[in-house]
Amino acid sequence: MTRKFILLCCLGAALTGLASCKGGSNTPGEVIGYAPVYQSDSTMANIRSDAPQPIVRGGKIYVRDKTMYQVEEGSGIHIIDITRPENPARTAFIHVSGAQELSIKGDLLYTNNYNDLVVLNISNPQSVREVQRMKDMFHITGGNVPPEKGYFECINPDRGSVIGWQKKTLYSPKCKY
Amino acid sequence: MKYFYQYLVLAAIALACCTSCSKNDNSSSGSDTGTGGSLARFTITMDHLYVVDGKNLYTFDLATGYAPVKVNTTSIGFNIETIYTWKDKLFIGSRDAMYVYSIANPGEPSLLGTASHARACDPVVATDTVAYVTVRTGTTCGGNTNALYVYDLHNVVQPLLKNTVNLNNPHGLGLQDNILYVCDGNSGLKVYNLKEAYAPVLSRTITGETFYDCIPYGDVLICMIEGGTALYDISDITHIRLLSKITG
Repeated sequence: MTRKFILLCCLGAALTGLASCKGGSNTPGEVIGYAPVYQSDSTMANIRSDAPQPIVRGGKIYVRDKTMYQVEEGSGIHIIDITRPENPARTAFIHVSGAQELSIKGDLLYTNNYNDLVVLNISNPQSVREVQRMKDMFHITGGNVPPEKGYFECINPDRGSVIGWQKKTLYSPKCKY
Repeated sequence: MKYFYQYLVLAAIALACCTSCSKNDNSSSGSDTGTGGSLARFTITMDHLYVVDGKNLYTFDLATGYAPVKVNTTSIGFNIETIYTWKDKLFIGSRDAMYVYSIANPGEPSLLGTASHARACDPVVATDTVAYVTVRTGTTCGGNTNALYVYDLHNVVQPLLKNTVNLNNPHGLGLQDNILYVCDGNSGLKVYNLKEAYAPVLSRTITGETFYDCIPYGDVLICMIEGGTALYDISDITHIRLLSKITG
């Protein structure tokens, strides 16, 4: 409800040229916030295995056999060995921009790279390979505002459609909700 | 004698086949698909992947190997958030309803019934005859209800609300045997006894974390908590014990 109202506000402001949703004189200097990720962003498809990473924004969970998986919201998937549940061991991290979801069948892991459905071969977690990509299959990520309230980098419509939001350091962001 | 050689060749071929089969079995690491939480938007049963976004249910056929084939798109409603499978049914949670779909024909889900409720977020878990739904308020959810709803599914066309259990800020939930685990945010993990399926009895509350979702997995309960994951020993339900935390 609030979100709709603010969107309407922004729309109204844009139409009248008042830009009331822009911070004006009281925008912050350097702040952690969200920036839009555009369809044309070339870094989005760079899926790869890495050493285990810290869990910062732990997301959805999944388990098969003695391995559990936790999404790192918007950036990838943690692979954790729970053979000894009293002493779990982090095995690897898969970088997948925009990731929110995962499911597994056989050696194949299905996840979302923003709104692309991607199929990863996880037979070797240390060197996961993308084996299939189906572009723009659904609309899980994106939207006109970031997933959390606060300052964000304004959308530049010239850069195309927004497929997701990425947390990073922003300098004097002018949009807020 | 001619037939003998033919049989011998056939037997050799059969033996070769069996050997290669068993090799394949040994190299695969046990079960084929795993288990997701109740907040999932992806789920796989047999050879199909089902995905929900805000409006639609997408069905992908996975029988073709690396390349999934999208075989169906069904418009469901608005603010769809979760999907859960039980046997030949899909339970789909939206901000104002629970939808039950039949996947008796896996490539073509068909609507069986709908249970509307107050506007709120709502993951679902279910069995043949009962569905448990949590509804939660919040900035992105709307509404003013925080509760566990218990639905009788005997008439799946029109699920019947049998019980409402008030909660504080419930998120995901997990079901195993006669035990229901409800993640009630920072009010803890509520463990319900389901000896009577439609009348959950609170048996204990685990506190100390903010709980978002749980997967009961044999003797281990895997919980998504604020900042990561916590694992609990649930082999003795009267003595649930923290095994480890994976955070930071």
